[in-house]
Amino acid sequence: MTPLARIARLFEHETRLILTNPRLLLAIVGLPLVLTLLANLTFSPQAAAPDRLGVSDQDSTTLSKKVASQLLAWKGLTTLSLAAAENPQGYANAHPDVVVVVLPKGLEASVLQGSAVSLQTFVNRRGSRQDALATTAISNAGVEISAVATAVAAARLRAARARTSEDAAATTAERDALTKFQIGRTRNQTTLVGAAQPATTLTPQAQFATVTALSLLELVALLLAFSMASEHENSRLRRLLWTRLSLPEVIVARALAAWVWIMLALAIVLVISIAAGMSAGPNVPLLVVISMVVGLALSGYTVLIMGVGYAARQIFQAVGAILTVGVGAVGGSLLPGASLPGFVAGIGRVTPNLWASQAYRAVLVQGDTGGALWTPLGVLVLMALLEALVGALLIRRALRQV
Amino acid sequence: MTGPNGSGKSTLLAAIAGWLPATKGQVRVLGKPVRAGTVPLEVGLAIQEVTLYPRLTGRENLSLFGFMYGLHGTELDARAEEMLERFDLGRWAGRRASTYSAGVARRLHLAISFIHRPAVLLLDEPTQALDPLARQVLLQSVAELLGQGTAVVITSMNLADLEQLAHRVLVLVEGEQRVHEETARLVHRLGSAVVEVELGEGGQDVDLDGIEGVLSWSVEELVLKAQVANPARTLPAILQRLERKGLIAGRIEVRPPSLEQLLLELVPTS
Repeated sequence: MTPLARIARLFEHETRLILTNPRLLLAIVGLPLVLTLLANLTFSPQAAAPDRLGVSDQDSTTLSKKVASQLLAWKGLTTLSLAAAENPQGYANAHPDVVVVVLPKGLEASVLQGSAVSLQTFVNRRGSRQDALATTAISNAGVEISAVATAVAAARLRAARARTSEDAAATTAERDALTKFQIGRTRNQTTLVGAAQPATTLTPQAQFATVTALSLLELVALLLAFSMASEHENSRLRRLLWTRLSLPEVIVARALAAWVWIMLALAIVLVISIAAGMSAGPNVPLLVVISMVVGLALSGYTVLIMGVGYAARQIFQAVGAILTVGVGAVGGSLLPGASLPGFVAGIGRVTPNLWASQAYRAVLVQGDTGGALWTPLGVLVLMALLEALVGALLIRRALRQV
Repeated sequence: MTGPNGSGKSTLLAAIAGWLPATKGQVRVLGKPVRAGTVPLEVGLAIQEVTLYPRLTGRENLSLFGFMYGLHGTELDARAEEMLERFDLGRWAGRRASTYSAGVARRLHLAISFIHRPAVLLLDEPTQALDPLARQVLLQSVAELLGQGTAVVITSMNLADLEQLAHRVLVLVEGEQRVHEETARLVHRLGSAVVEVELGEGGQDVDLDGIEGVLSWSVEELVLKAQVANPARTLPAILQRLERKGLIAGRIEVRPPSLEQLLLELVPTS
């Protein structure tokens, strides 16, 4: 009976224990399934549509109607006319995708006196800031109104000099100006170009590399460790070690079982992410290799938490959970790494998260296919070995006690 | 092996198995020194805590441990069947261990320790928490192993177990060996019976010295306890002496001796 045969038998046994544990099975498969779907919905790459333009005409004069009709007909904009009784600020507050412009009462009267009135605009901060088209239209309307006011002012000046009626001249000047009034004529034009931006700043690739894969898989690793170091397990493992089985064989078999389940969870995350629009990068085999190494690092993490489980049964679930959240936060999976203080980011370098994220980013975001990957992959393998070693030492120590 | 709680029975058993290192002296099993940290394959150890995989069936538990002991193929299957039969587990073989009663679980626990046919079997409190019927089934299984030449070291707080099974008895008190001798001789030394008599006033002055067949005696709270070799012959002489002094006040009882009585005598009361 070779050590290999015993490892294979124990691997089969551990896999079977997981398969016969419906709650654990549900968590290992359900967690990545549900959370990846949710993450992909949250970080949806769906294009944000340009903001709509709402026009509130509170003057209801020839001038204001002209301005409103041209704003409402602005090409490329979805527009709407607000009733005079509608509170423009309240409307903008209730509709984050609507930029509201107010044509104020007294607009025409002021223009007929030769001075333009500022248009008031309401933009909701909660909006997606796709307001370029709307603000261009409003700006152009303001310029056109100023032009009418200038024409009226000039006519009044001429009438005053000629000692004729200024008001009649102003009315005529306004009417003439309005025949040429065209806010889309020679003014600013904005054309939206390029791909529509997602609602968040994370691309699906970056999201996968940074957040989804690692934090999820660490949870799966934690659950596996909880299961393997469950109640009464100290006695069962001790008894197994009274047979021909050695502790290194147990560690290898369990790490292998953990690796297989972590790879299954990772496959679920990958498939869902790709189906939701993530690119697999320029080199799919490399993506698979990275995933296998990341799985290895997390198997080592499973053994480490398992070791804590044997050594400190009373507190290990709390310690495991805190450690996993802490590693995720410091390693940049739960909080943006760039915003962490320097010393925290330094600690992050001893977490698998940071290196796994680097490797995934290199291949998925930067399209790297070589050199830049070897350092993170090497560090991950070393981490796996170190974590497994510490876990094994903790287990050995625990089993020596009666 | 018996003794009060904390006397070191389980620790000594663990040291014999090699699971714990001996702090002094040396442990030899079958003439070979035991290396601390490993349990020799010639030894089967069943600790107090029942260690089974609850989601596996009885047969699967046996098969797993048997495989790890180096058995495989038809030999493993045959040995598992033999254990199921020997420990009367046939009916439960296909059921998950989580559904077992305490008695069945403990029998499977024991069967696992014996699946590789060790020459020495170490059992720590095997009858703990068992009902009388389950206890008898288990003791019968152990008796069969003894009959077939397996050396069994058993610890128990239930002295009736030891009286039924043990050829030798070791009594530990606070880590010290107080008694170590053959059970038959020990029982003989304790006498074949204990006579208890409730005494009246002045009973503390009783004296049984010189009565043939009285092995030892004591008076506590006006109750006389005497170990006698042959109650039929000795009891009349005792009663005659007590009656002469007018000391008999009530109950007269003759009980068989027990290891429990020995233990009570050996353990210091605080």
